[in-house]
Amino acid sequence: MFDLEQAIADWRSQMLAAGIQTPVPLEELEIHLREEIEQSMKLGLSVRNAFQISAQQIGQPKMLNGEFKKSERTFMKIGIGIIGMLIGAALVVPGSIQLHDELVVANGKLALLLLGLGLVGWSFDMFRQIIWPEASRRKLEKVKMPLPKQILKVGAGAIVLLTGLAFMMPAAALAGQDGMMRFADLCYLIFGIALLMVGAVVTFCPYKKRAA
Amino acid sequence: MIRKELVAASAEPLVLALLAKKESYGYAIIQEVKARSDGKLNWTDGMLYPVLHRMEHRGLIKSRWGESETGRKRKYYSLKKDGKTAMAKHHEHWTLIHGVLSGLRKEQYV
Repeated sequence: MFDLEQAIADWRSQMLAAGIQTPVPLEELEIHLREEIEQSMKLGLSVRNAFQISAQQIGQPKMLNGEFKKSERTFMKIGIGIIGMLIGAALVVPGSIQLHDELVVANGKLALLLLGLGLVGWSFDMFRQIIWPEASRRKLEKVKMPLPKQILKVGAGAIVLLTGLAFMMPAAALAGQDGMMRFADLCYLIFGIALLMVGAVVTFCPYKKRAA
Repeated sequence: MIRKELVAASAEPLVLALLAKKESYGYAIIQEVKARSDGKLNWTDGMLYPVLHRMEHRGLIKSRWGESETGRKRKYYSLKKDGKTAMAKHHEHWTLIHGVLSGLRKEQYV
């Protein structure tokens, strides 16, 4: 005699073994399975056949788990983003306070400040991936440029790169001598780093456009 | 047999359009899609739930637990404001694709 409750319990175990361990999806799937079985039996199928067909129609446990994992990744990104934001903010605070009070920042705190700003930026990107996922899904496509334009691009990139270095180096050198950095120098340093990054991208990366 | 990529791509707009009419639950959504497509659009039932959950996380739909007439627990889904906007966008895109395809087909028979 076919035991439907036992068969459903076994089906649940298979789902759990495949990794669907959060209660809500599993409960929803079981409710669905029971509705499907009930309807199939109304159409005249035996309990055994109704169960087998319904379980098959719901899908393979591993495949379902893969799909549910995609949703869970969003929660993970939110968690990582919040943690990154908090750590980043904590790293920025000591340097910011010293800057605010003394208009200088010690080298150790400066390193933390820059690291913190980087972390906050990275966390923002995590949130951006959730709010505006289409931006990263659209592939970048290489655009072929004529040689004169390529030379112009590399030349412009190199100028920006060198300008960035010119802003950075004196500030960095002063920080090396004094063991701390003035607020104005810090602004030069950050501006220099930004120029350096833009210059490096323009010089060395091929020109790409987002696919429509 | 409709290609699985097309079935997957159509899941979100279809769910949004069905929920725009009234709140519903997984089993009923699947049955309605089956009926409206004369059984040609046959989803793997379980695959609907990850789609619903993703849409809920994105703020397009919301859910509540309720009960059926027989007392069975059910999770009902309904459309949110962002869902209506997303549905309008989907409609615009699918209409465009349909228009282009129909136009090309007409030209073949002229």
